Amino acid sequence: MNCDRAQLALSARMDGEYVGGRRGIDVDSHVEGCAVCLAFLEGSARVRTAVRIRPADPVPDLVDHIVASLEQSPPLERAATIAPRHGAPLRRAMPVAAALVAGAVIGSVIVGGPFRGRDHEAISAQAVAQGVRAASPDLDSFQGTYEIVERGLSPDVPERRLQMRVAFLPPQRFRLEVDDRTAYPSAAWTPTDITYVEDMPATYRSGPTGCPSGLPADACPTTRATVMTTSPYSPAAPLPADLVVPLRTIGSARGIRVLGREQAGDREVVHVEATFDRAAPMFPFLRLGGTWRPFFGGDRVELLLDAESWLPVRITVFPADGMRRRDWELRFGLPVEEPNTAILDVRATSIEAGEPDPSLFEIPGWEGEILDIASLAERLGYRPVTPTFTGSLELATTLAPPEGVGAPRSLLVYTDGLDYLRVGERPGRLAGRAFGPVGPDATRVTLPGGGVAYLEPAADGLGRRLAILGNDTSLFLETNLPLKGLLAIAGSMPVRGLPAVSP
Amino acid sequence: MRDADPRTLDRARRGDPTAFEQLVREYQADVYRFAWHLTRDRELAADVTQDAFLRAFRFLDGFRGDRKFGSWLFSITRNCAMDSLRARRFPLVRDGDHEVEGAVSDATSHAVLDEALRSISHEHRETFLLVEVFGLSYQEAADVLAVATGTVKSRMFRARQALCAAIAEDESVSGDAAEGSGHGRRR
Repeated sequence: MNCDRAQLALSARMDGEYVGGRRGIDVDSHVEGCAVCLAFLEGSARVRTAVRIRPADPVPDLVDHIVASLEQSPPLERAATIAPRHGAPLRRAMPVAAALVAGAVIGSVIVGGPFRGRDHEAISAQAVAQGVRAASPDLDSFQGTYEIVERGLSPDVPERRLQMRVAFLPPQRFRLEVDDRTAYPSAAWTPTDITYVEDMPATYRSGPTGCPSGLPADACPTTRATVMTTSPYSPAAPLPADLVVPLRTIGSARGIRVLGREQAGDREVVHVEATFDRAAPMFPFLRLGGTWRPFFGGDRVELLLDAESWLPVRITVFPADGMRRRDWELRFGLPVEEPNTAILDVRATSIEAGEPDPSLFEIPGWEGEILDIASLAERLGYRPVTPTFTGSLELATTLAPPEGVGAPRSLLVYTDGLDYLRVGERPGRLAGRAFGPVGPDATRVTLPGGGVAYLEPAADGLGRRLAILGNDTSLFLETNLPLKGLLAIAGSMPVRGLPAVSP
Repeated sequence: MRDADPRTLDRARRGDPTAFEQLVREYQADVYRFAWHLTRDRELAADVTQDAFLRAFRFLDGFRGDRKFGSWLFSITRNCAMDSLRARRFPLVRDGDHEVEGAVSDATSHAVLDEALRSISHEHRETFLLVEVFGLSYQEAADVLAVATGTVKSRMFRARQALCAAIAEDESVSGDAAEGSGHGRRR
């Protein structure tokens, strides 16, 4: 037995190939006394460890691009039918009012559903995604209160307790308030009290500035300025929407793991698991200022959804296990955090019946003007193009965003419950395929009924986007509807999309 | 490597777009990563991924089911990657090459391992990736590469030898440098 033969056998054995019998004995006895082969074995094991624990390279989400391309390839064209998700004139076959939602979840929520060690009844991720998607347009209003427990902010403040209130009223009005009830060790700590209001198209935020990254919270100035911002038009999707119905988190089955149905108190809930990165829309309050502990992208988020209304009733974050998490803890100066101890727990404590007071959604100091489409046309000198098919979505707002390079001159917002579609328009022929939220790398697709458009998948706080570049006007559509719904609406636009011209 | 659900495959063969979308969702990350390892170019890898699925869809009728769907898809991905590299006139990485011309370097990658992977031959690297990174058996890797299983076995051995040597050399150089400058090496 020479070294090459021994190492060939060792390598095969590492890969699960059988090396046994007389040959196996020969290999083992050779390696025992051979420093070169031992070094090979040790080195190969180190290479394996390095390969397997290295951070995964980021993978772009290409599903929408690929599916859009497939829909234009001949075999799929024959089989696929692009159908709108909602029957056109039918509106809300099953209306779900806030009172019903409240009745559905309030009993068990207050008890607080235990998480582990119960029997799961199987349910597919696709069924959950479909349930969540169906609940989104059916929600008439919402107001709920949550208790937030955060652990590990600092050795001086190992645990914080905050109360959060969330309200929603169509079309696209949200309010989120955080009331910090933590007993801090000194006045140097600024409570994380936040108010956020979104009344399409304006947003308002009030709260303490966050501590600069890398500094402990008590190292920040004693008095921090309260930030108040009022934005006239935000292109981002509604921030607190996933706390009401987790459409962005669970509207697609990708990256979520459904553990099954289980009983929590007297209610049935669906137990879902995802990474912190995947479930990020469930934590809008972390992005609104104040001081919060850091979270690792791979941390495990466990989510309990009411099985009837699909409302999230409990969201809990547990530290991930493994070397990457340990490296990250070192970087943030955190102690080793146990994977079974929750570091953030958001629990619904009450869902209130009745519609929230509309005055809750008033934006302080905002004097913007919302016009009807005729007045907008008069002001702009052109009548904005509208789709002839919108499913159950209805026109909720028309406005003229502030002028800017590449910005739409008119914006129409259609909504149904939490579902939305924004149609931006800018007269004239644009160079390149980028327009509004659609970037230059968008994929070319053919629209039902003819013409081409440029599609980008949902990402970065925006829904699916499509640019239609006509001869004398350019449009973008941005929505949280599924791809087929978006294409069906885009296909009904009375503008024929032309291939992009080089910028 | 896991296998695709035969019912999903069957539905996809019959032209069910939902079934094919499900296959795309299941395999796109692996296909992209393999494409990226072959091309070392993120944009090209995304194009290759898209092409591979399009080709797979067109030729799904020809998939006989006598091997895993994933292995079959990897064969297509490999062919698409070769075609794209040829079309862009990027040279394939050969012995001694350290970079693919025009490739985007990944600053955050595990530098030593990446460098070592680049230093081995193209044939050894793709075999190593299929078996060690993507978890294919020798038979599955042989199917993807259209070679005998014995070839996969010997390529794995040679790849390991070369990687061990490259990493050992790097450590020896770093160790000398650290000793010379009087600082310990950070890990």
